[in-house]
Amino acid sequence: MSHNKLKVGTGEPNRTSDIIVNVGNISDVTLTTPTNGQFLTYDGSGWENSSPTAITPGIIFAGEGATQNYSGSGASGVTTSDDILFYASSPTNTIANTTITSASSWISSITLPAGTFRILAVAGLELTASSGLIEYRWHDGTALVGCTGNAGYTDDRVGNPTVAVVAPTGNTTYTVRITTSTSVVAVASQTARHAERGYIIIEEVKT
Amino acid sequence: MSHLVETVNTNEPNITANISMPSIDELDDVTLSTPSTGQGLKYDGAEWVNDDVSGSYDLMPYSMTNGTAHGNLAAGFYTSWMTPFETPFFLGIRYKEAQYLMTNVHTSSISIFKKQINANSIYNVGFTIDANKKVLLCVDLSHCDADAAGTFVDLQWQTDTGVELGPIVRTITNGAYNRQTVVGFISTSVQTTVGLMRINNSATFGCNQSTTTRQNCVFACREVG
Repeated sequence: MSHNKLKVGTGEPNRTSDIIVNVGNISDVTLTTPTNGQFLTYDGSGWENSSPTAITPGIIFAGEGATQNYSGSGASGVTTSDDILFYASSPTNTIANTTITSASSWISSITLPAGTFRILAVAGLELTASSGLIEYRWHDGTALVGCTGNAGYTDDRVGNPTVAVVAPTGNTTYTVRITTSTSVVAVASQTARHAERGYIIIEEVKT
Repeated sequence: MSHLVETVNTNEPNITANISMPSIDELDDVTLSTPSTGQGLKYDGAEWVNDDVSGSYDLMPYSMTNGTAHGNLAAGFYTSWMTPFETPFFLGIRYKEAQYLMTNVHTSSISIFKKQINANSIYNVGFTIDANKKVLLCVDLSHCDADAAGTFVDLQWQTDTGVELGPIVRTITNGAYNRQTVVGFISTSVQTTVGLMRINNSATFGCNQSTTTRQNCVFACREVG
């Protein structure tokens, strides 16, 4: 004599008549050997386990090490409150709704949309004396933001960045502004150090 | 005489013999911890738990030395002995301990590219990146302490065919300034090997390596969108 066995989904009674139901016993769930870190997601008709889609942050990268004289950048000056331009013939920009403003491949500003971003820049403008110093910070159109970067007379003193994490609520234009200018070579006499060694990296921060 | 009562995850029938379906939290392999809006069920290897439904960064391969300071190489060592092995890249970080530390991350789409000359002379020189990847490249390295002040090397990320990928950066022996970060960026259409290229150096350049005052050196790359 056989008996019908009560089931819930595919869960069957144990010897104490308790029917143990797991996620995989539910009728609209299909599990295929779940692995660490997978999620239960809806595929339009049922639930299945799947790995989360990779999220990769958008990025702006400008700084290809090109030999381009800053004297040809169109910069207005290299004194305090002047903005520094950056050379990039084909800057990478994968951040949506972002505008890179440039002329003859010299970038003067970057406009970011609402979001959160880590912005970093290194400048390498040339100096006339070993006692010289140029310092710079990001500027959001209203105020200086982030930490101060600097460059010195010798090439090894290039690489100290200005970095900020900014969270504009709408389109905001950022520039790299000179805050200290001591013994900086005039624009007309600047050669290629800044284009060769300067760069901008902006990373989108997912929040 | 007692009877076994059918239960579902310990839920007993009500007076109409109806057994409520268990809630998610009552499922045997689910443990919820104060779930919040927008969370999903995530498998932790043993059971399903609530967690933020987040994407994942595909990868961030890196390698680093283990902080061991190696004996300083003689002035001029690199130019005298190492340049023949620069095929295709600058030998960025001298390393001679267990080599697994050089390759502690290896994924299907980006792998660490290294050069092993012999058991005591292992170098990490870059990455091999699959097609259709956008990758931010970074290496943080220090200059040989034993070199004379002013000894330098200029480095730049490039492909193995010489495509420039970022700015030129100088590392130099100069007291506290002998550490630098070199960045680059590549968007690949085919599998591509990238690494540091030596642009210029002083004749007495010894080697970049894990040194007594600047011990860790790190290669890293990060996939971006």
